[in-house]
Parts: sequence; C-alpha cells; structure tokens
Amino acid sequence: MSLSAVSSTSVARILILESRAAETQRVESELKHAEAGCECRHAWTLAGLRDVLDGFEPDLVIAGELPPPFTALDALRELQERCPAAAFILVAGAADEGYALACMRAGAQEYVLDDNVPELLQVVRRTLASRVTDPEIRVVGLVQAAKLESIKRLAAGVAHEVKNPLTVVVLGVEYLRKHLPAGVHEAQEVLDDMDAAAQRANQVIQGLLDFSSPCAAHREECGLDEIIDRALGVLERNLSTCEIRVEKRLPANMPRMALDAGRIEQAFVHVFRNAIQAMDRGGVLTITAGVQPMGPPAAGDRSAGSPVCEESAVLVQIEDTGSGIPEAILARIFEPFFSTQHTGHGTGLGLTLTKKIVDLHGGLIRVRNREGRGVRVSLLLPVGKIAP
Amino acid sequence: MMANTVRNGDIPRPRRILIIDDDVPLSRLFRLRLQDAAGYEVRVENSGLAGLASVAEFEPDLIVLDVVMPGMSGREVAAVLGADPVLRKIPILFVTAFAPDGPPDSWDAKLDGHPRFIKPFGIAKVVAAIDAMTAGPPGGS
Repeated sequence: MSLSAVSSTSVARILILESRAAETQRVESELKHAEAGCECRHAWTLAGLRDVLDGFEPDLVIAGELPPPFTALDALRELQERCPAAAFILVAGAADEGYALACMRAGAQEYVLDDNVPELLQVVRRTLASRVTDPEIRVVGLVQAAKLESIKRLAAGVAHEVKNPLTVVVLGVEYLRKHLPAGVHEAQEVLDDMDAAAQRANQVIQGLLDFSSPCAAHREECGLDEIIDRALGVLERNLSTCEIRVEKRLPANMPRMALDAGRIEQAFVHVFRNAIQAMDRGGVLTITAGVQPMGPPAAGDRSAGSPVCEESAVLVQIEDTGSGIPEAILARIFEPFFSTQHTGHGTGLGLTLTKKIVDLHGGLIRVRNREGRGVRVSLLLPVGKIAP
Repeated sequence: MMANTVRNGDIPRPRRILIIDDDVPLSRLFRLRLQDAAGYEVRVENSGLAGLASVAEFEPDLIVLDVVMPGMSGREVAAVLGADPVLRKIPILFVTAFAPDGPPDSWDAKLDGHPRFIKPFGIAKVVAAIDAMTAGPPGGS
C-alpha cells in the first residue's frame, strides 16, 4: 500500500527525532519523495519534543541519533503519555540491536539498522498501513482473525483425529518388528521407514496442536548453553549432511535463566532448521550470545556494563551464510502456514511457533538479512526470576 | 470389596491391566504390545461404562484410560472410581491424543492427579510407567 493510499483522508504526520541536521534532511526528503507528501516535524531534545507535541499529533515517530542524556526510550515514554496512538520506529546502529529490542519491548513498533533508508521507507509504509483506520480495511482484518480462529479449531480437530491412527501405526510397526522372522532385512528397513514417517507425521500434527492451543510457559532454572546444544543435537544429521560448520561463541559467564527449556529448545530447532535449509550446499552457522540490560540503560551511560539483575536479558544471534530472504517475503515470515520450503520440508509453522514461544517468555525475535549474505535471527530472552 | 479379595494364596500371577479406549484397532494393538512386551494380562473395553462394569470382575492392577470417548469420558470414569473408597486405590494412567494445556510430554505431566501420556507412544515408555506405578507384588497389598 502506498503512503498516498494510507493517507487518503489526511496526510501522514511524521516526527523525526535526530540530532544530525543532514540526516534529518535526508530522511525527510526521502519520505516526502516516497509517493506522497507527508507533514514532517523534527526535534532532538526532550524540551523540543514537548514543544512539537503541543501543536502536532504525529502518526509516526522516527528516532535516530540523539544527544545524551536524551535517549530514544525517553522519547518513547513521553510519546506514550502524550500521544499514545503514534507508532515509534527506531533507527539504531548494528551494534545496538539489543538496545533496539529493548525499545521494542518498551512499546516501539519497529527498528531499522544502520541508517538503511530504503528499509526505513519500507518499514514506514508497512507501519502506516497497519495503522489504517479505514472501516473497510478494519473489517478485512476482523474477517482474517475469524478465519484464523476457524483454522485453529480445524487444526486442533484434525490433529486429534489423526493421533489415534498414528498410534496404531507406531504400535503396529513395533509389533511387526518383533514378530517378523529374523533375517528379513528388507522388511525391517520398510518398518524403519514406516516408523520414521509416522514420527514425521506426528511432528506436523504436534506443530498444528502447538499452534492452535493457548499455552503457558513452564519455567525452570536452566542454562541456555545446554538448550542450544540439545537443539543442535536434534539436527546433527542435517548439519553434517549439508556440510555446515557450527561456530558457537557463548561467553563463559552466561547467567542461569528461568525458561521453559523444552519450548525454547523447540524454538532453536525451528530457527536452526531454517538456517540449514538455506545452506543446503554448505555454510557456517554462527551462534553468539551476550547479556544485556532488558530495560533502558541509564541515561547517557549505554557503554557501561550494567550489573546482571532480574531485568537482564540474553541476546542470542544466529547467523547463516545462506541466500537470505527476499524483502517481499521478510514481512510475512511469521504468518502461519507461510512457507517457502518444498512440500514435505516444512509446515509453514516453524517461525510462527518460534515467535509464540518467544512471546510467551516476554522476549522478542527479529529476522533480518545480513549485509552481504545470509540471515541474522536475533532473539532477546529475559533472564527471568529464578525461584530461590 | 474386590480389591481386598484374598488372592490365590501366594501364587504369583501377571499384572492385570484394563485398557478403556473407544478406538478398537488401537486398543487391540495396545493389548498385543502390552502382552508381548511385559507379559501382562490385558483386557480391553471400548467404552467408559463397559470399563467400569469390568473393573469389579477383572480386578485390574492398573487402568489405562483414554480421555476423549463418546458417552462417558475418561475423566468421568476416573471420577466414579475416585469416589469409591476401594476402587480409588487402582492406579490410573491416562492416554490422550490432545493435551491443550501443560507441556507436550513429560514424565510429571498430570491430568486430574493421574499421569498422562500423549499419543502416539512406543510401548517401552508405557511399560516403564506401569511398572513404576504398580511396584510391588501383583494384586497389591
């Protein structure tokens, strides 16, 4: 949808928070050039922001570099109080992805890395489009939500009905394996294949059930390192078949976390599996992690290491060297049943489930193309409260 | 009542397992596998009511109970058994195709206080659970 279509009744009002005048001008002219005139204002201090808001109600706020001690999070808080309907987009440096995710957790809609103006324009367009108040479009949204609810009910019903026959297959294979005369190797292989097929079918069904059921996180004290190792273990064969080298660089002082270990492992399996499928001719899977404050860093003190506390989070970044994700597809990757895999290789639920699991933990997930090559998945997971 | 009935002296007998599940082919294979894998004496009933009627006569050491069944559900069967001061002592293992809440599968997953397994399952897991739940000589103390 174009900016002009979004603002057919009124022009989009955009507030740019940026201390570099040249950058402000560049973004503003690009915005105005991108399809339609929009009304822009700027500010770079808290006082300036308050002045602007006295006479201007923005639809969208873009926050770039700000002079300390004024931070994007300060701006976000002011806006949430004064102008809660405004969408907030953060432009952050690549090294600041954790900070960007913290802003998202505080209520920002999106972030863009590295002053990537084309991406910023896309995100602006997408954000404005999602905020349209046109009643007709709202109805479309409701119909889609109702459809999704029907799909969930259908999925749960089908999954339930399929599990009984699957049990017959699994137990039947066990029975035949035991009663088959020894030495019939081919028949044993057929049974192995049947067993594997039944397990695969069960995974699909279980995915549908996980997708359609509301679930709660059963948190327990655990270490992320072990969870990641278990997830890699599940995919060991795929990794070696595709000749993928795994580089895992986790700091030694990782905190113990309060997570639903089983579900988080499942989330990593989905993310790793996507990476493997993107590198079916070999590549490198890099996993890095670091602790960082979950909330806003102290004003003007972003570089100083904050002590690990309940509000800490772990930022895990998973990078592949595959072909990347076309921009048009990137916006849809969390949609249920959206898959670019060939039949039999994916249900289109992997990332939907991953997001559901991450949301369940109060975390955030972002998927971006890396500059050059491949995809980076960033997962921000709160350390959580560990029961004494 | 029956659970207190004196057994045939000290002659050991295999554990008795009652399967109550409305899926006929599933419960048939389930019975075959339990007999195969652990030598249990297994009886199958395909409805909650028939299952309840069987309990008195068969005197099972453990009941494997499907949750979703037409008519009387597995949870209702368990509630009836739970209300009887004697029958409530018979351990129940729920098996279900659908667990909307709780972890997808784990040893400590419970439904109404009874362990529950999610279909499909291999027999080894079920046998291990039955052995753990019916520890001690068959027939109970």
